[in-house]
Amino acid sequence: MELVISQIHTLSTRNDGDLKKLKDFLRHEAESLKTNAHHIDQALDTLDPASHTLGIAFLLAAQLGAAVFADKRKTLVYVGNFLKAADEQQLKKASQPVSTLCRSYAQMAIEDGQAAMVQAVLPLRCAVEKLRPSAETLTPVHADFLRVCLKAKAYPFASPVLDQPIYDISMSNGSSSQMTPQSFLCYFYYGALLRIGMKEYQLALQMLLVVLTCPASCLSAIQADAYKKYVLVSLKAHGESQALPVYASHIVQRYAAINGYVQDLAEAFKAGDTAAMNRVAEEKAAQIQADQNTGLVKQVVASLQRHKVQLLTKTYLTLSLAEIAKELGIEESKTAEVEELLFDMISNGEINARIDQITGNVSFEDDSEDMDSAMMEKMQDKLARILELASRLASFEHEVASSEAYIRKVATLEAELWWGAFPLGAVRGRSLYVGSLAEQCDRQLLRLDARAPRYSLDDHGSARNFFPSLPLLLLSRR
Amino acid sequence: MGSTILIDDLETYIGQYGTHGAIQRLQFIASKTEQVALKTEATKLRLDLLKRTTNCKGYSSCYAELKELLEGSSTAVPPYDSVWVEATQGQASKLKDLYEQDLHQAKVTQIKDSIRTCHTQLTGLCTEQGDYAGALKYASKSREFCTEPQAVFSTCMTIIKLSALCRQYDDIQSFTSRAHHTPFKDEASQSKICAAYGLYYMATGKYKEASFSFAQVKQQDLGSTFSDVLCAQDIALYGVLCALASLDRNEVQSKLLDSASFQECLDLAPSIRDVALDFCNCRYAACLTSLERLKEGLLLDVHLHGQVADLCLQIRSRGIVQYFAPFISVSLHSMAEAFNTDVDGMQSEVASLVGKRQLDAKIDSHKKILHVRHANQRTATYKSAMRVSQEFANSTQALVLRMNLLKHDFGVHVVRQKK
Repeated sequence: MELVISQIHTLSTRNDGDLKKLKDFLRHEAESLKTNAHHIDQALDTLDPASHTLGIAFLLAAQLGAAVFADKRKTLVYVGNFLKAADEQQLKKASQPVSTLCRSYAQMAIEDGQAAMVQAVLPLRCAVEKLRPSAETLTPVHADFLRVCLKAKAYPFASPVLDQPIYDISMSNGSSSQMTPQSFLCYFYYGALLRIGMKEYQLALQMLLVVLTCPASCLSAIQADAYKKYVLVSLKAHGESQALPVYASHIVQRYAAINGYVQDLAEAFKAGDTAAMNRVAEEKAAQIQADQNTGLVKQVVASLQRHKVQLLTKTYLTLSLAEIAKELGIEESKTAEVEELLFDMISNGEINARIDQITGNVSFEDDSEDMDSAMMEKMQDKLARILELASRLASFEHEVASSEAYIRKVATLEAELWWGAFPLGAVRGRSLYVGSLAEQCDRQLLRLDARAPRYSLDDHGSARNFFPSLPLLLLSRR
Repeated sequence: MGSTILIDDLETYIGQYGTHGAIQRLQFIASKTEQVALKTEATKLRLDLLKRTTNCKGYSSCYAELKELLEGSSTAVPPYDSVWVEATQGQASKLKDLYEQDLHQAKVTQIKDSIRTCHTQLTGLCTEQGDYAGALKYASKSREFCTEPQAVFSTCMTIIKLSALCRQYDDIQSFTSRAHHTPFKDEASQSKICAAYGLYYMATGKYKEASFSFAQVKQQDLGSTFSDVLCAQDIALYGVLCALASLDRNEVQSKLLDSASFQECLDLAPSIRDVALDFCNCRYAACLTSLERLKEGLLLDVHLHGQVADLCLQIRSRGIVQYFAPFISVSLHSMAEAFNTDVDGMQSEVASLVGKRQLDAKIDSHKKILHVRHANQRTATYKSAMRVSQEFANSTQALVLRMNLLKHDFGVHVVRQKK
C-alpha cells in the first residue's frame, strides 16, 4: 500500500510519460488494491484530489468496487468533492476507472435517498464535462448522470447536457471499449424521460428515435420500452402515432408490428373513441403499471379531447358550447366542463378562440403569429444549424471518398468493368500487362495524384496502343 | 336496372344474362333480399334455369331451399324431377370418363391443339355442372397448350367468365391483361376486354379507371358470350356510378354522356341515365333522391354489392364539393335544401368533408353559413419551412450519430460466448 502511495506521489506530474507509467502500474495493482480496500480511506487522506487525480480515481474505483467502507456517507461526500476538484487532463486518462467509479457512485447515491441524489447531481455533471473528449461525444457517465437526475427529479439540471447534440460515442482505449450498448441506449432513454418530465415532447421523441434506430440484431428491453413510450408521446404531442423511420432496424420494426396496449390505444385515439381508450387503459392497467406508463396513458387519454378541439378550430368559425360538447362526447348539459377545457386551452395558447358566455357561442380565430424580426431570427438560427450539419456531412463525405478502402473498391469495380469488355486472349501480352496495371492502380490510389498514372501508362507504349481509353477511363471516373 | 328488380320484372331482368350468369345473380338476390316474395321468385326461376344445365347438385340444393321457403304457404311446391337428376348424373359421369380418355390419348400423341381441345371440353363439362373452380383449373391448363393467338384469347375470355362467376376479381385483372396483349383482335374483343377491366377496377375501388374502361365498351360488341358476366345495362349502370363518384361534372359529360357508344348503353337504362343527367345539370337533390331509390336494387347486384355504400357516399361528397366550388360563402339552409336533408345533417356532413380536407372551408355554426377558408399564404409558408427545416435537422443529426455508431460497429447484438 505504501508503495502505491509513494508511486502516486512521485509519478503524478504534468509529464505524459510519467502518468502513463503510473496508469500501467495501478492497473497492474488493481487486484491487490481491492484486497486492501480497507486501507484506502487512510491513503486518500494523504493525497490531493487536483494533483493526484489519476491515482485517486484508481483507488476509489477499487474501494467502491470492493464495497468496503468505514463510513458510507463520508465516502459519498469525498467522491463528490473529488469529482468536482479533479484535474481534467488526468481524469481523461483514467476514463475507465472513473466510469466504474461514477457508476457505483450513482448507484450508492440512489440507494441512499433523495438528499444524497441531489448532492450527487453536480459532481456527476462535472465528471461528464471533464471526461468527454469533446462536447458532442457520449461517455458512459452521461447515462449515470441522467439516471441520478431522473431519480432525484432534478430535471432542469440535466438540460445543459441534454441540449448538447451528440454525434459520436467515446470508443477510445482500443481493446476495452468503454461504451456499452446498454449505457448508450440508457442515456437516450433517460434523456427522453427527462424531456417528458419537462414537457418537451418533441425533444423527447427525438431521443426515443435514437434508441429505436440504433443498429440492432436483437431486441433490447430498453428499445421495447422506448417504443411504447414513443407511441404514447407521439399520440400526445401530435395526435397520431408516427411511423418509424426506414432506417430503424428490422428487429424494432417487427416489434412495432406486434399488437400491444399501445397499438390498441393508438387505434382508439385515431377513431376518436374516448370510451374505447378508457376501456383499454382499464383492461391493461396491470401491464401499463408494470411499464410505469400509467401517468403517460392518462395524459394521452386526456389529450384526445384537446386534439378534437383543435380539429374543430380548423373546421368551424363559430360553434356553440353544446355542440362542442357533443363533438367531444361529453353530455350536452355539461357546458361548464367544456368551457373550462376551452378556457385552459386558450390560456395555454393551444387554440385561438373567444368564448361568448351570454349566447354560449365560441368563435375560433385564425392563428395570428407575429411575422416580424423574431421570425427572421428564428429562420437565421435554423439556417445556421443546417449549414453546420451540412458541413459535417461534407467532411464525412470527404473522409469516405478519400479512405483507402473506398478507393480500392471503386478501382476494382472499374477494372472489372473494363476487363469485362474485352474477351480473354484477345490481347497479346495481356497477362503481363495485368500485373503492371494492378501495381499502377495501387500506386495511383495511394498517391491520389491524377497525373502520375497517365505518365506511367505512357511508358507501356504497346498497352496504350491497344487500349487508348484505359487511362481516361480510370481517371475520369475518379 | 336497379329499380326494375321487382318481382314481376325479375324474369325480364334475368333474361338478359346467360344461364350461368343468371343463376349466379338469382342465387345472390335470394341470399341477400329480405322480401320473402322476391326470394321465392328468385329461387323458383333458378330452379328452372338449373334444369337447363347438368348441375344436379345445384338443382337438389335449390329445390331444398325452395321447399323450405314454401313451407306453410298455400303455393304448391313444384315436383322434384328425380328422373332427370338420375339421367343427367349418369350421362355426366359417362361424358367425363369419355373426355378424360380423350385427354389421355391426346397427351400420348403430344399434339398440342388436341390436348387443348380436350381441356376445353372438360372445362365446358365442369361449367355445365356448376363446378366453376374445377372448370377454372382445366381452363388455365388448356392455356398452356395454345398455339394460336385466337385460342389464347378465347381461353382468357373463358377464364374471365369463370372468375367473374366465382367473383375472383384479381384473376380477372391478370387474364384481362393477357388477353389485351394477344395480337390480331377485332373490335368486339376490345369491348369485352374493356368491360372486364372495368369490372376489376370497380370491384377493387378504383372508380376513375373503372369509369374510363366502361365508357369504351360498345354495346353491340358485347355479344352473347359475355352475357354470363355483364350485360349492356350493367355497363351503363356501373359506368355511371363509378364516373359520378370519381369524375367532375365536365368529365362526366364529355366522357360518358357525349360518347356515342356509351349513349347506346345508357339508353337501355333510362333511370340511371336520368341520375347522370341530373348530376351534370346540378340538380343534386333529384339526383341523390333517385340514387337513394335505386340503392335497394343496387345492393342486390352481385358485382356491385360491396361497393354500393362507398359509391353513394363518394357521389354525395363530390356533389357537395362541386356545389360549393363557385361560392365564397353559402348558407347551410340552402345547401341542405339542395341536398335534400336538414341543416344539422348538412353541417355534420360538411364538417366531416372539411375534416378530410376535401373541402377547404370553415363553418359558422352560429349563423349557419359556410365560408371559404382564406389561407394566409405567408404564415403557412413560414410554418411549413420551419417544420421542414426542423425535420431535416433532426433526421440529419440522428443519421450522423447512427453513421458513427456503424463506424464503430456498435449496436445491440447478441453477445457470443467466447469459446
